[in-house]
Amino acid sequence: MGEKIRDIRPVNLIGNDLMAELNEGYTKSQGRVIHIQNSKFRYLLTEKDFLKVSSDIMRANEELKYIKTHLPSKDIKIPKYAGECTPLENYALLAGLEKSDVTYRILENRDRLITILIKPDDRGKFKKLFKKEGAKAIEHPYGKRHGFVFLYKMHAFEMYSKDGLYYEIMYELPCKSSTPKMWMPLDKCVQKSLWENENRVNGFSYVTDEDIWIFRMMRCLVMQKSFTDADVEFFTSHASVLESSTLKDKLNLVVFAFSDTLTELVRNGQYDRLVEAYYSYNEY
Amino acid sequence: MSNPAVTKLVRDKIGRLEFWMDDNIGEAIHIHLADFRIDLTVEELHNLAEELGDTIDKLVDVEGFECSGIDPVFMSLFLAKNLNHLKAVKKDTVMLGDLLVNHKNRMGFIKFSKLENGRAVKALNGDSSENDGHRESHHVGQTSEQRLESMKSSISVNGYPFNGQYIILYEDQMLIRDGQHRASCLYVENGNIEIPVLRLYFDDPKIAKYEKSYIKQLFAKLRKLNAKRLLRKTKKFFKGLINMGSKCKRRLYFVFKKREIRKMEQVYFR
Repeated sequence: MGEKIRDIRPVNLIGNDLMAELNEGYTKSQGRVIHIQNSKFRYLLTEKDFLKVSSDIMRANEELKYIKTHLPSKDIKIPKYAGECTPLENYALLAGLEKSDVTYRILENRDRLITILIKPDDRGKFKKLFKKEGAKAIEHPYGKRHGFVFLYKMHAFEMYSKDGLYYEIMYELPCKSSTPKMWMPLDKCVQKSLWENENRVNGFSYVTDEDIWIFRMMRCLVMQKSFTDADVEFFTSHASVLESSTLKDKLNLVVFAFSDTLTELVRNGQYDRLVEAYYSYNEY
Repeated sequence: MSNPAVTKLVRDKIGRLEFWMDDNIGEAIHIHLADFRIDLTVEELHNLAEELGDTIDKLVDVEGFECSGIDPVFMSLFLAKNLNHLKAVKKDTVMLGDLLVNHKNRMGFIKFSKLENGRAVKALNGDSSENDGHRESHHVGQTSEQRLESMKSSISVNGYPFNGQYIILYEDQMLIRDGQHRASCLYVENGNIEIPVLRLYFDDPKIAKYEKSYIKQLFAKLRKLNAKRLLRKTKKFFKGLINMGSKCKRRLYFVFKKREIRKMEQVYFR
């Protein structure tokens, strides 16, 4: 309905045939209006808004072509995740954690720095324990005070120190978002798996190979935007993870349609192609 | 489901509604209009953009106007809102040295200068102090330097005009509305030569009008201040004050914990 001036052109929107139709507006001040419609649906825009939306979509198309051919730059300072590790026995607070009923998983151990995941439900108990043990809290390099934002109700990273050793605490397996200064948790299925499975080694609980594989892969793709020698060594030595039946299900919720290409490239050891393949991927 | 690789492609306001589009790698292209969302495949977006370009051509219906001849970034940011007033399009030739360029200074006023004194020409000659940080019409994630470099190499490979896209002027003015980078590259490479441009004419004289005087610009800004805008600006001011408080608190924290933080970061970043 409306005072039709003329049909402009048929437009196909997600498989639906619609007609862009030029009409007189209801009032003089409204100017001409465009109806995007078929027999079951109609969206009305003023001529000016239609031109804006259409040009925005055309611009988005152009921007998409641009980002698919230009790798994003690194947006944060990145640590070297390789080198010597301090023996676990030296981390006095870790022994206390093991003895307590706080559920934890060791994610990584580096020189004088250990990364531990704490089950979010045990956060209160954990804080009490670390306070009692005399751990000193200090702002995490990717913490809120540095302007980082934690999406989807994710807990901010914490950092504690005692006797010259540092304890990096996380409550979810994180992933850097491609949006600058933003962190987000990996998909719920990975978080669930993190607390349902554990890898017991020398009396301590570690994150399982499969979950750490996903975590490190996303760190390489989104945060580092490259694969270091240590990363290549890790993925090569954990090639058996690729055979896991649950890996694909998890990857489908993390990298979505890119999961097959990802596993294929890892299987072929083409780490130098992976980052570019991810950002230029357009088969979805 | 949360996708870590989300890139905002475009953001705008349509009437009172927020409009934005983002690319979610491996998942879909999202078109958001307030709380309403449409998911497209990459292919569907390409096709839709093409169809909409053709729809605009048919809607505008001015001889010589073709969407494909206009840079989509310029179209979306500046031209689209005035396109319903377009009455004529004319190809013309001008001397590069006669062209004017503009840019916003730190106080938010628009400064006009001859092309040869413009920020892009200066940057191409090695002084990028004015050019850095002007990202309004850049591609997603593109820096000012990258923009200028890519334009320079595009002109040396493809020449000018490329893809039928000309430098755009309004009415019979010499102020570049779109194509400052192209004009600057041509000027630095070839000097004051004659080049073809596209002139757009509108039925509303306000569209092409520009004010050189800072005082007139200030009055124009004040005239735009209605009650709603004033309220928004006041809110923003007080929000800024509150943020300043937390910024100071944050700064103080880093001052008092400087040694410990430096020690920890030495271990963390090694």
